[in-house]
Amino acid sequence: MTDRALKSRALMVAVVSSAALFGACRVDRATIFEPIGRPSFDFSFSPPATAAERALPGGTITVSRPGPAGSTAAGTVRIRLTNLQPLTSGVYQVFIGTQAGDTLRDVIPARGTLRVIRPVATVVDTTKTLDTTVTANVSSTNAGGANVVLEFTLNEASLGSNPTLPGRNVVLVSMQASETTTPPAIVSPLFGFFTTPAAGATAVTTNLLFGNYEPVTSRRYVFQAVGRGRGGVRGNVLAIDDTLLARPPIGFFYAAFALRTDSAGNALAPEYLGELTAPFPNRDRSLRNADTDTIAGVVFDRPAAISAASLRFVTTSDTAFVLRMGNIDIVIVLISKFAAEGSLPPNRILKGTLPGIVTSPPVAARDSTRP
Amino acid sequence: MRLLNALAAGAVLSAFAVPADAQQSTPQAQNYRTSLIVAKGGYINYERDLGLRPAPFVGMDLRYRITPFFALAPSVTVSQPRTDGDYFGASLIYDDTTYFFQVSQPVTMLDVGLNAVLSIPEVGAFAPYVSGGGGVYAFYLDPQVNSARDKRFSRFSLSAGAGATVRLKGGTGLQFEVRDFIMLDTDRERFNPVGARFNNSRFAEDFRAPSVYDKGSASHNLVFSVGFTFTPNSGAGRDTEEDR
Repeated sequence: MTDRALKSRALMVAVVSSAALFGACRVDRATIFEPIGRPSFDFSFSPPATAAERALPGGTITVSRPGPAGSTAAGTVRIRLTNLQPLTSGVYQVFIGTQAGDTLRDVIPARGTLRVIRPVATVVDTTKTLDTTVTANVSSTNAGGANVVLEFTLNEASLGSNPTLPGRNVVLVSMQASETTTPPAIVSPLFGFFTTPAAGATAVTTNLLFGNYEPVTSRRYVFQAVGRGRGGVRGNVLAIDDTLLARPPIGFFYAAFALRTDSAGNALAPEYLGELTAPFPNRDRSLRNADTDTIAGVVFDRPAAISAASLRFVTTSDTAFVLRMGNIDIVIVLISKFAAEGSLPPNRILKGTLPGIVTSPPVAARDSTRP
Repeated sequence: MRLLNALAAGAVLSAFAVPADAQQSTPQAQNYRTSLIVAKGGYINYERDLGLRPAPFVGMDLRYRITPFFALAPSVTVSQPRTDGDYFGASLIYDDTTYFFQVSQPVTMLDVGLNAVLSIPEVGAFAPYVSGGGGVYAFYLDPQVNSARDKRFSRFSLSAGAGATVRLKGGTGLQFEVRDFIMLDTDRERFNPVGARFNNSRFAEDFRAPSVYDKGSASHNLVFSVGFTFTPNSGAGRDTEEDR
């Protein structure tokens, strides 16, 4: 091989080696902090602190018997229902019967006098000035609302039999399409047990329970307002993730509302955000039927819980949640399936408040031209 | 996985071992039984769904002729693509604000394989061929952002392509090739170094990957290469005394 050929090959080797060395020494590292898009401003959800704020459907059963002691005269049963949502495609119907062991028998419609007690204007104390409607000889109603009390009073004349007959001890409040003479097949969401006092003794009051009634005690379900969650607003998107919610009683589903109040604390029109769904990537699966249907990994029968739920609400404008002077609460509520679509019930299961940077942002943060 | 790595290592060694005929036989005795060494480089256009950006590569083939028109060719290919941040997102929560990020990392792809090469009769100095084969590919991920368990994985691969060699003087030549490098049982999520707790699920719809992906599917990656070929001993008996 000639010197020229050797030099040529040596030059080639040098060039290739240099290129390989350059390539090998190139510093290329992972990039983990390359921001994309605008951030989200987050807030937390938690159950309201007091029972009055939670305002779950409930009520009381009060049983009284006139004196004197030893009298066998019929008593009176007064059933007060509170925090019910007005229904548009169904009624609440009250039944009375006998629970013996794990058996329910002798159930009849609790026909009586119904007083619908509504607060007047801003008066919410039901012992003060009230607007009361009285209807005789009924066992059902579709009335309801925040601070509205439905009071059924049963006596021998209205019921057709002694409401305090020995053995009678249970009141069921069903939610159904129309009034019937026997309880519907679906489970009653409100139920309670009472005892009859002796004639002339003090009236006995017990609470109604909210959940799923079953004659068999071990299968009964009492709803608890529990759960937690976190939400965020990113531009025109509100996203909510809730976890560990109690499964809704039969006939109810979870939904979210935006509640605006002005600077004086006056409530503005609520905005319905929609029903909760399974979390991403299954947001197309609604939890509307979580009361009756389980979803693998999301809705469980035992324990009766929803492990994770979400809601994604997209507005048409970046300023949809801008209020300037005021406050916006996002609330998770239980809605009756017989109520008007998108109507706000009295109850509040979870509540969160949008951060100030969302409701009253600085001008730069509202600039919709930002990526 | 260890078996695949062992196969990969074996293939690499065999690719660079000096073939027997190159040591013993003479061109005069078995003129067609010569080996063709191909040093190549080029560009791999990874399938978009895989989440890898296109990248250059270097490689080497050793084409061992069995018959005048058929050869077996162990090959090795190395490429260092970068993952595409559009496919891999993360979210970090600072107090009550969540920030979103793209995450990308350099990865090293090593493919070793054995191809069958069927030559088509030459037209002048132009020698076209088709090839196909299989092998093993391995990805080595950035150890700074991946756990020790996740920093490497390997799977089987297939390859099919066509090209042509242009003969130059002195047993050298140029090779042009296009092939479909098929990675079997691919898993895009293996390129995602983001831990589950940093995944963005609340606003996931706003940062969707540009395309959906079926885990375990085969990905088709287009390889364009240019190679320099050299035939050992091709000049034996023709070199001058001075050259020796």
